[in-house]
Amino acid sequence: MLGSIYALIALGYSMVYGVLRLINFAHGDVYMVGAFIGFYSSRWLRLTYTNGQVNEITPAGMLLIIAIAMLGAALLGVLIERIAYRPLRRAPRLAALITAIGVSMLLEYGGQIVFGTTKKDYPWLAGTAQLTGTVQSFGGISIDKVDVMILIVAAVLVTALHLFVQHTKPGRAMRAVSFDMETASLMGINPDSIISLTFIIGSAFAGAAGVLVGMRNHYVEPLMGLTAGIKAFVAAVVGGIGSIPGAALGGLAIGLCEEAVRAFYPQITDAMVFGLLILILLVKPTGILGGGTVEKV
Amino acid sequence: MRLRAGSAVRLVVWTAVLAAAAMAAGALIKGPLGGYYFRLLILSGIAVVAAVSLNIINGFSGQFSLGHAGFMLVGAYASAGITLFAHHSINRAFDAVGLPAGARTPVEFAIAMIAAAAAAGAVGLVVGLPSLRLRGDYLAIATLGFGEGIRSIFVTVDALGGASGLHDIPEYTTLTWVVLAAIGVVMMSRNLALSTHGRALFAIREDETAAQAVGINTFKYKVLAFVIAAAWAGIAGALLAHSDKNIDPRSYSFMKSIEIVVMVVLGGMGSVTGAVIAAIGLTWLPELLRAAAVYRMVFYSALLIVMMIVRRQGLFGRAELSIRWMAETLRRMTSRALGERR
Amino acid sequence: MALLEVDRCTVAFGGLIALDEISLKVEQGEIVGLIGPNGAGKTTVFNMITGVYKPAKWRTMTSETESARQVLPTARKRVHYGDIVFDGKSIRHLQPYEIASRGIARTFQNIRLFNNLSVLDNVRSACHVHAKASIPGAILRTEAYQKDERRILKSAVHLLHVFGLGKYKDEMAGSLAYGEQRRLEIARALAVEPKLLLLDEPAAGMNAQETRELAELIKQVRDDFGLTVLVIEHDMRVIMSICNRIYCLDYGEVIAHGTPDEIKNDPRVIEAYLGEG
Repeated sequence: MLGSIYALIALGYSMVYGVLRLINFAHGDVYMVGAFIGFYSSRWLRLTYTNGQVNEITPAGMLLIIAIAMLGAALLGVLIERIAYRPLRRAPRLAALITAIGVSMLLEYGGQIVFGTTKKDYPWLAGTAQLTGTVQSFGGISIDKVDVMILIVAAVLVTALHLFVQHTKPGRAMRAVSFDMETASLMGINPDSIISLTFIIGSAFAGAAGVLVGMRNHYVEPLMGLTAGIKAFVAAVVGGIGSIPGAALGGLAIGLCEEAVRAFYPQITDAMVFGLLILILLVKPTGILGGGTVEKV
Repeated sequence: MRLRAGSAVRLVVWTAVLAAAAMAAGALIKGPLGGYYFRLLILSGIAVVAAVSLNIINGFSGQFSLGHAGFMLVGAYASAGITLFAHHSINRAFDAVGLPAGARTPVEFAIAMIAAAAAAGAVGLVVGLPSLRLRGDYLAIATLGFGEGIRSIFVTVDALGGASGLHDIPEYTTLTWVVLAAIGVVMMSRNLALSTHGRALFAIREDETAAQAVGINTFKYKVLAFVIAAAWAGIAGALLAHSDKNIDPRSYSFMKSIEIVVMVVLGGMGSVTGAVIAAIGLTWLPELLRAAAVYRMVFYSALLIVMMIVRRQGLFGRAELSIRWMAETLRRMTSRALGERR
Repeated sequence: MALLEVDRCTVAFGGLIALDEISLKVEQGEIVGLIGPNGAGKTTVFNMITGVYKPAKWRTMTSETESARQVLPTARKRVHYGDIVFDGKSIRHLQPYEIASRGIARTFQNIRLFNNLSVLDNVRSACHVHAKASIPGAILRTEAYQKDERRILKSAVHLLHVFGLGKYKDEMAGSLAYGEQRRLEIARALAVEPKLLLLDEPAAGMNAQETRELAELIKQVRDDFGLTVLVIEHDMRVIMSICNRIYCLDYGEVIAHGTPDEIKNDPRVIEAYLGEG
C-alpha cells in the first residue's frame, strides 16, 4: 500500500519541520535519489539475476540495497543540510523555503542529466513476478505480496524510530530541540548534531521508501520525487507536522484515501489529496495529532 | 470622487504616449527581429504583471503565497471563455452599437481581461478568506494546496477542456496590451505603496500585533492584498492564454508559482522595481542560456541557492528606483570622483 | 462613570489562571499605576483590555478559604461574565483593532516598532485608523485622497516634533537609540488619537535622568492631549511621582489599591515585593 511509503517520506518532512521549522522541499528528491542508489547498487553488486523475462533479486539482496540506499540518502541529506540550510539558520523562513526549492530543482534537473530521463527497470522481488494474483482483495482495492512486504519494512522502521525517540538520549534530545532549540542548547545539547541526526534519519527513511517503491512499480525516474513528495507532505500536514506518529498516521490515511478514490473515480485522486489538505488546514491546521503553540505578546 | 483636472489629463496623456510607443515598438520588433524576440518581450511583460502582483502579497503585506499560478489559470480560462464562446454574442452587441471593425478586437479583449480579473479576484477571495487566518508556513501550504487544487479541477473537468486544455484561442495579445498591463500594475503598486493603505500593509508585514494595536484591521487588509494580486494575476493569465493561443492547465503548476516567487524574492521582496527587473531578467536568462541546453536549469537552481545564502534580500531589498534616488546616487558618485571636495 | 471599568474578569490559559476576577476602574483624566512583581499578570491585564486575550466567560466558584490556583470544574454557583466597559460600552468581544479605533492605544513591554519603516511612517501608520481615503481613491490619487494624505503628514510631523523626534523622521525606526525608540512608540500610540493610553513599562532600561524626563513627559502628554493614562511600571519613582491612584497585582489578583501614600505603606504590597522597589 502506498500509504506506508507516504508515511516513511512524511516522517522526514515532519522531523525536519519539528526541529528547523523548515519545509524541506528537497525531501521528495532525496527519496528519488535513494531509489536510484538502490537501482545502481543492485546492478553493480550483481545482485540481480534474470529469471525468465524479468530481473529478480533475492530478499537478502533487497535488504542489502535498501541498506545502501538508506546510507546514501542519509549522506545526501546531511550534505544538503550543511551546504544549503545551515547558513540560513537565522534567516527569514521564506529564504530557507526558496533554498529548499532550489535544492529540489537542482536534484531533479541534475538527476535528469546524470541518470538520463528514461525510466529505469527495477528488479522484482524473487518469487513475486509469477504472482499475477493478489494476496487479499477488499472491494476494488488490491494488495500485493510486495505491498505486504513494504508494510512490514515500513512498520519495522517506524517502530524503531519511535523507540529511539522515546527511550534513547539522542532521541530525547531531538524532541527537546524540536520543542525549543535555544533552551535545549542551554541544556548542553548541540543543536547542530541533533539537526544532522534528524536529517540522517529522515533522509534514510526516504531512501528506503524509494527502493521499496521501485520494487513495487518496477521503474524509477528522476521526476518521481515530485508527486510522491507533495502527497507525502500533505500526509505530514494532515497527521500533524512535527509529530512522528502523526506523520505515520497521515501517510496511511492519505494512502488509504488515495486507493479508495482511485478505485472509483481515478481522475480526481490528485484533487482529492489537495482537498484533504485544505480541509485539515481549515479545521485543524496543526493536524490530527499535532499540538499548537501559544504566541506571547 | 473627483480627479483633479491636472492629474487626470497627465494620466491620459502618459498612457496614450506609452501605448503609441508600444504599438510602434511592437510593429518594429515583430518585423525585422522576428517572432522569437517578440514573444520573449511579451513573456517578459506578462512575467512583470505576475511578479509585481505577487509582490503585493509577499512583499507588501509579508504573507506567503505559493499558489499564484492558480489565479493565472482562472484568468486564462475566464478570458478564453469570453473570446471563444461569447464571441458571437459580443459581435452582435457591437453591431447593435455600431462599433467600427478596427475597435472590435481591442474592446472584446478588454472585456475578456476584465472578466479574467473579476474571476481571478473572486477566486482569490474564496482562497484568501480561509487561508489568511493561518500563520506563516501554514498559509504557504494552504496557498500551495489551493493552487494545485485549482489546477486539478481544470485538468479533471472535461467540460472545461480537461487535461488537454483549451485550444484555438485567438492571438489578441499585443505588445501594446502587455506594456499597458505592466505599466498599470506598476503604477497601481506604487500609488498603493505611497498611500495610507500601503502603510497599513507594510505595518502588517513588520509586526502584525502592533499593527492591530494601532487600529489596522489586519485580516481585511491581508485579504484585500490577496484579492488585488489575484485579479492582476488573472490578467496575466489572460494575456498568456491569448499569446500561447492555448491553455495547458498542467503548465500552470506549482512550478510556475515558484518561478514567480523566485522573481519577487530575487528582485527583493517589497520592491516593485526589483520585481520588474527580476521578472524581465529571469524571463530572458533561461533563453540566453539556451546554448547550455540541459545544464541551464541546473545553473538556474544553483543560482537560486547561492543567491539565498549570499544576498537574500535580493537585488533591491525594499528599496525602489526613483528619480530622486538616481539623482542622489549620481551626485554621490560624482562627488566621490571629484575627490570629496565640498 | 469611569472611563474604563474592568469588572471581575478572569483570564485563563488552559488550567492556568493568569488573572483571577480582577476589577479596576480608571476615571477620566487620571494617571493610574499598575504595579506588582514579575509574573503578576500586569501585561496580561493590558492584553485583555486591548482584546488580545478575551476574558473567560465562566466564573468558577471557589471556596472562601482556599485561593484560586486550580479551576474547580464542578462547583459553579453564580455564573458571572466578566466585562470590560470603556466609555460606557462593553468592549469585551471586540477585536484589538476595533478597540484601538474606539480610543485605547498602547505601548509594549518589548518595544514593537515597525523597524524597517521610517520614523515618520511608524507614526503615519497609526494615523491610518482615522484616514478617510478609499482604496480606489488612493490608487487613482483623487483630490480627496491627496487632501487626506496632507492632513496625515501634518499630524504625524507635529507629533514627532512634540516628542523631539522631528529630526529623525526619515530614519529607519530600528536605527534609533533605545530611549528614542520608546518615545517613538508613545508618539505612535498617540497618533491613534486615543482617550486612554496604556503604557507598558515605559521607563525600562532608562537611567535616572531619562526616567525623570519620561515622568514629566507623561504628565505633560496627559495634560496637552486630554488623555487618561494607565501605566505599568517597576520603577517606583515614576509611579509615585505621577500616579493619582495605584493598583497592585500579585498572582493575578488585585491585592491593594489606593493613593501612592496608601500603597507605599501597605503591608501586603511590601510583602509581595519582598522589600524590592
